Amino acid sequence: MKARETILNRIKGIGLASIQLQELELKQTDAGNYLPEFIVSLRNAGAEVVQLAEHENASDFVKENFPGTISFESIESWKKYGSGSTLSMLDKLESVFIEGQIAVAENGAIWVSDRWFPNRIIPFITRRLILKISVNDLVPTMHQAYTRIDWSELSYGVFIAGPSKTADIEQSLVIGAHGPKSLTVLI
Amino acid sequence: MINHAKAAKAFLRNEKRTDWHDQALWFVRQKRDRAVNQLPEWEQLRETASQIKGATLSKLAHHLLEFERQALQNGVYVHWANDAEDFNRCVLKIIRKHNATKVVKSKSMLTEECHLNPFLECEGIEVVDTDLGERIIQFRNEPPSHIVLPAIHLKKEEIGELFHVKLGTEAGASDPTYLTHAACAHLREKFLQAEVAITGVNFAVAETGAVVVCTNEGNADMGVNAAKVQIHCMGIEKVIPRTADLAVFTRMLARSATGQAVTTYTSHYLKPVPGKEMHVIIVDNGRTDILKKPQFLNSLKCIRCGACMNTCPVYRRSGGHSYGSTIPGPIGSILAPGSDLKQYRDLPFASSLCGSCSNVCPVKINIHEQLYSWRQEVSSARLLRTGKSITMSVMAKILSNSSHYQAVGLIARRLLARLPRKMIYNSFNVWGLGRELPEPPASSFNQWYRQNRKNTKL
Ligand code: SF4
Repeated sequence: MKARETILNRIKGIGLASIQLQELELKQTDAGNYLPEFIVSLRNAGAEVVQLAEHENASDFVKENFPGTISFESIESWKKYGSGSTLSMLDKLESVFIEGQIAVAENGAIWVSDRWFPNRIIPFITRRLILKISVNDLVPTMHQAYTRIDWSELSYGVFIAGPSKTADIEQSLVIGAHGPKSLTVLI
Repeated sequence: MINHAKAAKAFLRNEKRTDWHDQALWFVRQKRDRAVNQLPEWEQLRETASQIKGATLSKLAHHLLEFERQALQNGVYVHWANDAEDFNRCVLKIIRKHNATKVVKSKSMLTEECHLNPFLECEGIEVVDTDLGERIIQFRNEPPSHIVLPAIHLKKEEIGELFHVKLGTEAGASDPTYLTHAACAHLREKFLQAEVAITGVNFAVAETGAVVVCTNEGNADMGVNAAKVQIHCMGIEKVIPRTADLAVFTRMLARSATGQAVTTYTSHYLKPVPGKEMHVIIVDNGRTDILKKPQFLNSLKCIRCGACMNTCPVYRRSGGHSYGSTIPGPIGSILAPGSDLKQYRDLPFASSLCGSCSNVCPVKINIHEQLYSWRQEVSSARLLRTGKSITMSVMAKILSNSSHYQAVGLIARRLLARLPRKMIYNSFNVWGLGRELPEPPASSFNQWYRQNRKNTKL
């Protein structure tokens, strides 16, 4: 407790003249078509992009094209990979399918929160991640994205842009670091 | 005491390598330019980011308290630490409370600054840095040479050799993909065993108590979400007031740092998983001293993107280690003297004052002006190197009197043209050690002007 008071008193003792925090001016964005930009951003971030037709069902598509993929629609899988799971079991996850909530056109980031998967480590520990996103949830920039998040309920959420990567060895880009080696986005 | 010029000289001995280092960083700077130019509103964003940080710093106690209140409400333990020692003890206490011995850590310049690793190791705790670049330099037992690219000073062959010894990769292998995957396999084991995960903090949002961490590798999330206890370490300057501010900073950070539109992961930690623990440690360690100095307090706006290093002609050609401070480069050269002027008195001089750092800085810190101000502080504290202070006082006499100036100019023009090289470039001419004088002109500007502009009055 002592450090807390010391630090706060030190700051207060300096007596800086207060500067008013300005309101953020958000450029009004029209309801334009951000899909092409989003797709370019996803590719730049190293993600694979699949555009599904209106009548196609994402879950069926995943079952067909990525057999063995785990999703969390049923209570059983929620339990199995949530409270009933161990790290070593999760470490064996090969492919996981999760629903994204918000997508950002300018950078390809997709918002997921732990209300949609039973263990926070799942989107990271799996080798392949498949995210679904609806065009209705597409926004142009981070500004709009942040206004859409419901913070009152949130305990953990992450924007994911592409598969994990690093360029720590001589600046050569390597896809697949600690997180998934591949990210597929179904639009 | 750090001698930057001397350390840089050692780095420069291998010319090919220096060129490579220079190019590698310039490449990152160019990527940054491309990413930044995609946003027509970039300058407006910089202005906004700077305003947010400035306003926050002006009411720092208020925002920190608000952050604390929200975090406590979220079920987070909030700790405060005065200095490095306080901080290290605080971390240790949490680890001990859980009888833990295995810790993973994702990138945090604050823990570097406080030398947390050696402290914990002395207490018998295994600390594994999980960012690939950080792991490399941890294996080599050396500090990072860059805040975003910690191992930028190393060639892949050296890393190959290192991994061969430490991780048993094939001898002679130096393919970055192969090496990266080998390191990740090794680190995955560490993630699965770790009891405590430590991270740095990019932004702490007062409005919600959210702790935001940005990584590309996913190491912060692997660590935090695998371990029972998560500890986030932040300097007091990391707090931002509103969620909406996050949008401004997340749009700028990765663009400035690596030229990506955003980092792969932007993680928001608010509440711990039931049954687990989340701790936040708020650290001063000299920051309030900087806050006290009006001409330097803007340096606390820094979001640690590294852009000023990538662009700096001195950093690129002298390497991060030559600065001898936790944070190198232009921003390091204005932060370090604030913590210990005597020790780091050299750093404000490790600059050409070209101003490129200030131009790229996403939060508009007037870095080069602060470098200049620090030079004056060094001088008025009588800490200039002897050679420099003698030269300065002689020059001051010459330059403040026009007839002295003209006389010396005349002598210099005559002598420089005639004297043998040895007489001019010797150990007394510190300036000439790394620089060439221009050809002395035949006449002074004054003489030239009189002759060529006869009708104009001087
Ligand atoms: S001073 Fe500016 S450019 Fe340098 S690291 Fe900090 S924010 Fe980036």
